[in-house]
Amino acid sequence: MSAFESILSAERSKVYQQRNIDLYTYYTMSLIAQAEAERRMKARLKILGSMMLISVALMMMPFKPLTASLASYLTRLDWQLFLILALVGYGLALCMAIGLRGVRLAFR
Amino acid sequence: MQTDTQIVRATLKGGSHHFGLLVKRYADYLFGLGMRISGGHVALAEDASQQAFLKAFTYLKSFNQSKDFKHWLTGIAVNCCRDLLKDASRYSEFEGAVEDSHTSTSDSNDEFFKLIRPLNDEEKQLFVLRYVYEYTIDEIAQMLDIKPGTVKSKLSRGVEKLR
Repeated sequence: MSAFESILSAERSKVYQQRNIDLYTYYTMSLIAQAEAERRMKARLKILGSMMLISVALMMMPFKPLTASLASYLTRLDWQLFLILALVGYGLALCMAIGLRGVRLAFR
Repeated sequence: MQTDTQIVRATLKGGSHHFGLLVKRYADYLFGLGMRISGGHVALAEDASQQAFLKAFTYLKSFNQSKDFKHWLTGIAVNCCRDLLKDASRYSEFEGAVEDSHTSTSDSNDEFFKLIRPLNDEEKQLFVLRYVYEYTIDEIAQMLDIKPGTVKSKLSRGVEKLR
């Protein structure tokens, strides 16, 4: 067992060194930069691809029937009722905002 | 001198150039670890250390900053060595060409490489971590994400082989 121990202690005292640490660091950092650039490029390609898909889907949509149905809907709309409902909605939202602000101030 | 955790934080905040400090700090350590686990394979040790740094950088966000960076990096490096050792045959033909890329402070300790030759790859990793780097069983278990009992049993099986 003493031979075993002496081999191990010799190995423990041994220090392995890269001959040119600066070159090694430079090369490793360039690998990291390359991997980072690749990751960024993939993310950009994904965004570009999804944007292209969306634009193709938009171009293929049947716009004429859609605009026609929208126009007919707007002509049938009761604008007076629409405005009253909008005003009530905004009023409620404002009241809630003021109420929430009061609650937040109370708990501060 | 900045601590590892400070450099990790700076890297996550400010970009990859901060990581160069960690590469410089642990290049020799990971190279030595690779050399010991691979039984003196220079090219494999270099590749393993580079891959370990690359992986560490990629997964740096997942590093728990309350833990030891060196231990985390060691775990990654051991896994890289394991992956590369599975395909070690591709290194043999180039081994002679890169022999001069490193130095060691003493004469070549072939006796150590001969000593661990009977062990399989996993036993070599555990043996090196336990008896050369003197990590505790719990530290090794945490690094390699295995149970302490498994580390213990595999180590004792390995030591038995060497007797």
